Amino acid sequence: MPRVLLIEDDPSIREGVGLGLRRRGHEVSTADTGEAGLALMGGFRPELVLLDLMLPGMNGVQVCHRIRETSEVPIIMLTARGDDFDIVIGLEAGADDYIVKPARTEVIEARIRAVLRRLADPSGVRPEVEHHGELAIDRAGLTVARSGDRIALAPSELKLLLHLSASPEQVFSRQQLLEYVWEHSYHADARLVDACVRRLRHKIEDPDAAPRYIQTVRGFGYRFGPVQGARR
Amino acid sequence: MTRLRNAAAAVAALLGPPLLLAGCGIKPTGVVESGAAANVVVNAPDRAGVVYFVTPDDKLVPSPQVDSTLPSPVGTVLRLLSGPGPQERAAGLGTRLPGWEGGAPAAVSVSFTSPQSIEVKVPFTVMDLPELAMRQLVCTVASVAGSEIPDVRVTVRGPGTTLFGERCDIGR
Amino acid sequence: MRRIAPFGLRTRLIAAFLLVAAISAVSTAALTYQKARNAILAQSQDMAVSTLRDQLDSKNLRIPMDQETLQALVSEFAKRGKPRPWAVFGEYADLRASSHINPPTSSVVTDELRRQVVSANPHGAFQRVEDASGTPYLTVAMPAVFTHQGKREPTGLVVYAVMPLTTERETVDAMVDAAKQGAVPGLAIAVVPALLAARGVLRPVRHMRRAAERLGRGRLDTRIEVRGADELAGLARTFNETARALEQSVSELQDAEVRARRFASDVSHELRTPLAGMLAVTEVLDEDAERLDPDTAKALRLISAETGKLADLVEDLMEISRFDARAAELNLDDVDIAVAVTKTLERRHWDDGRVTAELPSGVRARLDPRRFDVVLANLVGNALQHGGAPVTVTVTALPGPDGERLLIEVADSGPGIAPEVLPHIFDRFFKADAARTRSAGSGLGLAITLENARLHGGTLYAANGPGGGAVLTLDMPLEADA
Repeated sequence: MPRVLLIEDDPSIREGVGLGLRRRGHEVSTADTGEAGLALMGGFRPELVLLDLMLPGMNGVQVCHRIRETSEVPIIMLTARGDDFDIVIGLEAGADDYIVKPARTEVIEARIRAVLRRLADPSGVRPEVEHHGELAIDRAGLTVARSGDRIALAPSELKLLLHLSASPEQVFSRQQLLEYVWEHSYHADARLVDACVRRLRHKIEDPDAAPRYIQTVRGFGYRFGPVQGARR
Repeated sequence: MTRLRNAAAAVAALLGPPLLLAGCGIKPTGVVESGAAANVVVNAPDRAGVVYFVTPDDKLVPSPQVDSTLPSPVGTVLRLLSGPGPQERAAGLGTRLPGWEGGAPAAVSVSFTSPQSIEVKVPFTVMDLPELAMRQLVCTVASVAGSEIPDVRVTVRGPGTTLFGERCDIGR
Repeated sequence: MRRIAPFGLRTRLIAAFLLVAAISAVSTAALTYQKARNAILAQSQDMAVSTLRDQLDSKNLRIPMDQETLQALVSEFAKRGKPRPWAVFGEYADLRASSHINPPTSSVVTDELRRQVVSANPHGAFQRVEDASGTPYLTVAMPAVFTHQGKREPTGLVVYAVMPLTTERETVDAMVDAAKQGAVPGLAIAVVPALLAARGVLRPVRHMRRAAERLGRGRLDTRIEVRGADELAGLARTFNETARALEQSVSELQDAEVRARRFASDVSHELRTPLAGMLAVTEVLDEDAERLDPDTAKALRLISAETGKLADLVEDLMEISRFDARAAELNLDDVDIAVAVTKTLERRHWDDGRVTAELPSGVRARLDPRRFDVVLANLVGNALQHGGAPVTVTVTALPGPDGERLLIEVADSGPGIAPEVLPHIFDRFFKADAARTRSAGSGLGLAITLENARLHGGTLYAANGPGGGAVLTLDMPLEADA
């Protein structure tokens, strides 16, 4: 069972969520401030961080940024509905998903499992390393390199790239991506997809040119490629 | 209802003055007395008596004595009794007194019975005299009394009948 | 009783002004005219009477008269008519003389006049008459008297003078014409000050009307400039006071409403944090309840279930508060409408035959998928709960005046909605059945649904279908604007 770091200032939520997750077999460490949470990162080595956005002192978004500086650990934000602006900021800062409070433990655990789940490889016959333009995608090793340099991708970014590149030039709607990549319902928040695409483009695309790999299809969604001058 | 009345008043106010204007041109009037009658000069001695004759529309008209000689009161009465002369007749004057064709002058007398009354004696019955004839007689007799006796009473004595206190209604 | 005035205030003011002007002009003209006419006629009459008297006065007469004297007399008088030529007639007993050859007597001298002047004590007299053709004549009768023994006695002679009044009539008619011709342009000129006066009176009235319209449109800060101290200024002052009082009470009401909403929002906010902790542990309660004695287990399950409901209620309250604060945002995306509807039904496990959907294929809509899911789920859930299966969802896209519209009809098979309830079903916490104190939902479902529809630029209609069941219709643009 995964190790979960819960950073939450409210004792009742911290206790309640911690209790619920431990009952389901998770190893849970809790911190009541962002600073305390960051201090635990090294020693506890969590496999997933549950991060409240509204924290005293260093806030959730700043904590998210600090974690992403060194780690691609999955981060799920705990938010309240209506804190729309914070959700967008949090997603831009590198969070993989968010949960609206109050939530039942089964909902929280489902999100945790979804984020941690490895993408099932739809085809076993592909070469282990695919090349798309300057991108090299290693489906088995779950690594991506650009011009030979390995790129650190958060889990949601990696899963999105793998899903899109598995079917090049096929258009996926945001709802489809929410269902496949995030295991959300069809009607979930499309901003998850948009924020993730922005982060991914920031890492793999040329910042001065139009996107080559993750392309927007107006009125429908996103597709991978076609990549001009692709080397096979 | 008030509104209706207001409207009626407005219409009346609007139409009234023009109606007033349209209603006036020169309208006929009744008879309007205006000042005194014209005072003419008649050539007649003031002290002489006046004989009254009757116009065709039954009015008394004076016929003054034009002779220079002053006739006696009896003479004046006699002139009355003898009827209108040619000139009077030409003008259409007549008399209502009974004819008196050359009767004895003695049968007629005029005498003052008191300072305010004068008596005339005539040779015909005065009982049945028409009113106009009586006025002719009374006014003629009164005129001989002169201006010294205003409001003179005339006693008319005929055969069998005497009428007292008759007055002449002419002049003032 | 209220009558609608047939004319506007301006027309009535001008009419009243003109009426007053007309009455005063015409009355003045009429009075002036009457005075002038009477003066003209009196002058003519008096002159005619005195002229005739002067001519007859001191005349030497021989009486009884004869025809020649009489004729000579009238002929002489006729030459000296004043103020203008006249016809003179002399009457003495039977004698008749005329200054004209024919007739010897006048046709316009009345018997009335004759009788007046042959009395025992006669006066001069005149009479205005009209002949058969309507020409006015002045007839003057002058009896001759003489003084005898100090008494004035009638001589029996009466002289009549007959003078046509045509000149006077022309003068009078000219005056009438002048009055008429003066009055019409006078009235026309009076229109100008009437218009000015009406304008002066109506300008503040117009200002007031504009101000009232502004006030009616909700501009409660509208005030009128108070000028002068007349009745209109008083009205303006009253208007301003009314507007001020209205503004104040509206602002108080708005403040109270804002406070109430903020309170609801704050309460839900405060409730959310403890609920989040409680909700996280309900599972623990549910699992361990099996191992406890039945009463404790029952109590724990009750707490668990009610915590869930409470969390839903607080979420709905938060959602409504955001609508009230206009903080709700649309996160638009392009979706296939058939897929969106199908996914909603699948997610709620309503695709088991209770709900049938008639969906067009390939229609894409731009909407907020999460809010659309809430709307549809609420409509179908409401239909299943209060109406009954089978529920039919019909989706159509129609061209409209402002672009294409999306119509979603949700019809149930229940008894329909009572007519007195229909206007209220979108009200917050409205319960159709007063006896049922709590429904499965929060009581905010349809209110939130309506707010979500409005956020998309659409609306909801509630009606009863021909088959008797309730029909709720979502009508929104196919492409919503954020």
